[in-house]
Amino acid sequence: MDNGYLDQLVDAIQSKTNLLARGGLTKTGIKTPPGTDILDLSTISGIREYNPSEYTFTALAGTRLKDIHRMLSENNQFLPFDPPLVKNGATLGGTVASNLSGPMRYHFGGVRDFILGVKFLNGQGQLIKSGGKVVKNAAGFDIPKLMVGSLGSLGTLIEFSFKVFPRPREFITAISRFENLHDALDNLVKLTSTPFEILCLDLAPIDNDYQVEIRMGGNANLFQDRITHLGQQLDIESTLQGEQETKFWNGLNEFNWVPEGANLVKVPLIPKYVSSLDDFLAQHQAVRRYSAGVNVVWIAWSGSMDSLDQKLKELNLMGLSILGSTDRVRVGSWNGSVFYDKIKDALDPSGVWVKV
Amino acid sequence: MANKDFFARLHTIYPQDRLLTNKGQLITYQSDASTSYQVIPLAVVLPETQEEVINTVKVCHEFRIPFVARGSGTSLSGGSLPVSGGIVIAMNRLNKIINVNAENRIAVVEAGVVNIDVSLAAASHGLYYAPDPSSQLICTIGGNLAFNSGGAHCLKYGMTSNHILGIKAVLPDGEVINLGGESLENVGPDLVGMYVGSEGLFGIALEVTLRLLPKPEAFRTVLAAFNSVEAAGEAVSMVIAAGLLPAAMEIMDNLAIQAAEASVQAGYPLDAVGLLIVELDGETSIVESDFEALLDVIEESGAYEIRVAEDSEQRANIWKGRKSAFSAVGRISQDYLVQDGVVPRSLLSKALREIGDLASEYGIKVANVFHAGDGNLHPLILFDGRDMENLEKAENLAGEILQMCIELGGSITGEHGIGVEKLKYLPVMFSDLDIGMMQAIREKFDPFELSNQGKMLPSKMISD
Repeated sequence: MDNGYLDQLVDAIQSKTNLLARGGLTKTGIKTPPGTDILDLSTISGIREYNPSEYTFTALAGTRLKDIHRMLSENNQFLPFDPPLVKNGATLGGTVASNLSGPMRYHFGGVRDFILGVKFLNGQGQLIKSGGKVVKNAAGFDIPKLMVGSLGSLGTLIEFSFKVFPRPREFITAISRFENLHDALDNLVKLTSTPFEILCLDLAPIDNDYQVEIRMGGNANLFQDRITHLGQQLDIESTLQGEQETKFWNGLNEFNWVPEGANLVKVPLIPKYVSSLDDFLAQHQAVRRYSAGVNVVWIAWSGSMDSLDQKLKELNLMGLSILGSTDRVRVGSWNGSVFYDKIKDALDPSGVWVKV
Repeated sequence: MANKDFFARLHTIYPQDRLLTNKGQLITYQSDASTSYQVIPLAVVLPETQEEVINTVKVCHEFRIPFVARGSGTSLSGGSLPVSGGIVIAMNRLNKIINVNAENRIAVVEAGVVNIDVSLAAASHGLYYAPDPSSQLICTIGGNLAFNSGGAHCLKYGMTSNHILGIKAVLPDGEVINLGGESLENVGPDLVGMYVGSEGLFGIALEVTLRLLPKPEAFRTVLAAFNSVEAAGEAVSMVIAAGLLPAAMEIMDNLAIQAAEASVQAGYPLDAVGLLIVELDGETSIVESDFEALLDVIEESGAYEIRVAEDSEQRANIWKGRKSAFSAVGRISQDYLVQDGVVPRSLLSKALREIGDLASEYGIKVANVFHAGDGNLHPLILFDGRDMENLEKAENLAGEILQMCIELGGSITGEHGIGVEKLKYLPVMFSDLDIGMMQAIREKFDPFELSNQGKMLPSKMISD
């Protein structure tokens, strides 16, 4: 790490307010508020440590995910939370700050389930360490988890330690199609209670149908039996393997399905909200995908953000703009402000960091 | 200091039989599972509703009386030790399982619900609650949440924090908050993650939304005996290097084996110097395929005896011995301290050798049980506490072990938390600045340090 640049960051923190760190600028929907000074962290990059036998690594915030992927794949390891926008240049810091996980988080877990430690600059420009570098640690407040999704509002994230897993050797995806949402959702929900080891479980309206996409991984010699077994649970229309399969999921994770000009909004939810929300989204002709076993919906929204905001508030859901030109970063309702405000006050008493 | 008005106010919340002030009643609560520490509380209250807990916290806040929430008192770090001049809020009667929602794979429970009861309630839906601390037959969800409890199956399934989706809690000033929700995903900072493992410093969790998982279809549980603990540790490295991710990997040394056998007669080989338990679970075809690979590795590792559980009863027996290990040492020692340090997995053998050397130096027996898959050691330091000098020696040895864990790049606690027991070692792991930052956060919520005072962070209210 260039200590000269770190000193510059500290100077900026100690002399200014309304600061926001940015990395790869891949999350175009997370707008920098007007009058904000940007701290460019893209140059604070590099792997500090990697222990393949420990399944851990430590890297600086500006490190590109594609560099991390390359390093891990040499040892048949990977980032289990399957972060999106890798090809677009997403950084580790941006991924943590925006809490973006991809479809495989369904099985393995999200960013927060793999972060072990963090170093960050607080509102006084002091470098604070929290967590550690070992896979199990119960010492002190879990500030590494706190920083996940914090959008840079609690400090400038400088360095992270993460746990990783062995990468599944091969993948196969089964596709089922249903004429209506109810049947698709019903079948998907039933799958979530079965012991099938499903890595990705997505649902999307495609043409006039609803498509359920089931990704499995591991030993390819077992795929035929596993698919046959899965086929006893629901009708499988087709399967994908090899390059075609990889391309399918990689494309989804770069959000290649989002129409030009639409805002991409991430909304955490669970199956019980789908019926009401999907009617609304369908009426507004919003392209959407339900991912991670319907624990999140990605909405390509071209309508009024006020309208989406109102609907989400009605359902007590919250959304975050990830891509697009809207100035509305958050929509919907959030229950965390009392707890968050006290923490923000402690970590950033002078209000150095912009609350996005 | 509490005064008559404080008790008068408590009496408006509790009938006499749920407001304990008689010394004979209070002694029951003077300690938790870390029995080296005893403090008799001012009073113990036994709420039966969330409303009673909230009102108690408000009264404590008004009168500046410290309080400690207590589940089943299974903390191994003094986490639910009473505070002198404070009260204990016993949470066991808040034990309603409010809802098990199989479609959404969640359970909503009150904080006093016993860990195993969640899985029992979810079983008919083919679901279960994964975190399995060894005390799961009696420990409560609230306690698990406060200390981010682990257990043998952390390796594959993570800690308590990975299974909590939402929390309803009362803050130290009496304000009730809700954090998180029902989804695995989240927008905004992970406030649930921040609350879990905060050791009661942010008030008391009242109601928790838990993530449920489908029950594994198949299990393969293997027990392997080695002529050394190092060989058992090496076997663990070989399993990991083979790309396998077992649900659990545990090691016990001979002293721990002897104690476990004396206690529960699990049928462990008594001459094993190191015993390794490995469990695979999941989809049948994957488990069977991984099992073949696992057996190859274990055979290559030099185990002199390998047993495979043939049915659920044999599986339960293998685990019975391991899960009873802590309490079992009571048969071979008057007292014990259990430590909870973590080292990088690849340095386990080195750490064990150093523990052995330290134990010889101190002339103290140490039984070792540990979560080998994630480097989490549990050295059980055996001593006779009837002589206070022995306790001091044991504590010094424990301190050196924790120091060693940090020097090897690990942590002073993997799952038991700091509590009271490891307070003095916090500066070994964190700088004054890091600790100061945690203090600053705590102060925003509880400037009077009423909630679990003197745990996790040094208290300015308690003189040395």
